[in-house]
Amino acid sequence: MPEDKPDSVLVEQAARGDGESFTELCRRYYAAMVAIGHAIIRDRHLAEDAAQQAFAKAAVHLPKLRRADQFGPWLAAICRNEAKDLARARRELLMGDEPAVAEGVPDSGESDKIVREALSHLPAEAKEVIYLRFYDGLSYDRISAVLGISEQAINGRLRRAKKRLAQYLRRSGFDEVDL
Amino acid sequence: MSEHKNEEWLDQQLQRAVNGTTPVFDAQVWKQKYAREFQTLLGRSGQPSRFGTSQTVRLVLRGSIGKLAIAAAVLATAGVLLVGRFGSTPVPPGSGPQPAAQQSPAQMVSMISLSAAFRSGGLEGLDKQCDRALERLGPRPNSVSIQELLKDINGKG
Repeated sequence: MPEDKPDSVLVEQAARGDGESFTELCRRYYAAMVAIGHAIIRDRHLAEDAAQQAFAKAAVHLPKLRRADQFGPWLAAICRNEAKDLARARRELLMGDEPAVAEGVPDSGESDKIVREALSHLPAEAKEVIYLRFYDGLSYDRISAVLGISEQAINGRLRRAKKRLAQYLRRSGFDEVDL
Repeated sequence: MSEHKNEEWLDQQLQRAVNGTTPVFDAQVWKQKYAREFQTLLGRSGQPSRFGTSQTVRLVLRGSIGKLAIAAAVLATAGVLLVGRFGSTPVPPGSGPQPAAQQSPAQMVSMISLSAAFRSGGLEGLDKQCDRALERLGPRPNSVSIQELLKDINGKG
């Protein structure tokens, strides 16, 4: 059963033309790819499009991947490019000039608005790790597979991102935020 | 307010700001939408995996058994050099030394090649043959020549 196999085995089998293995990889990485896309694009549906297009490119170019254990970071790089292309096409690149609005999330007050605005001011790398961690409660292990960095490094990135957010929120009047 | 509580507050805020509904991958829809790309993937069915070889090499290099095998290969090469220096294996007719460019490092340090090199150029010829083989294998410390190594091993001045 493909569900029981580790990623690297699925990647090898997919590279040999096994469709089931590839779709299992897509299932495993979908949430992470949508999170990466959403960190770049404001639109949830576009983020899903970016993830699906990334899978399509991966299906075609999988033989170019040199190391099976680098599938996650390789796929994430494709997804970022797809998301940037889609965002560019829609003129919606989030480069800190507009607040990020998570579609489907009810506006439950001023604090939500300010937190989302604070998120939009984060550098791309920090914003991405926040989205990966909080989008779907992805485990450090899964984030590590996607970003190709250690869990310790992920923890460091998250802490730095949160400190920046806390600084921004303090400046916005949240005096209790003190990380 | 403690730091833990503050971080917890921020985590809750981030979850509210970032979290949407969990995205679920619909394989059937994707296969229909990207039928051409999926067919390209399926078209590779039966082809050998290109990950296998490099991963095997990496595993060999990482493992202690692999390191032992490499050490054994180095010792075997040294043994071949010594035999080539003192052995008297006759050279079969028509098996003269090939140009170095046409030989692999393994061929270059084979008994026949080393013996032929020794017959044609003596210890210096043997040294040159080994140097050429080592050059093809890649970077190495160039402070000690094979000749010096042999002298050291044999205890001759």
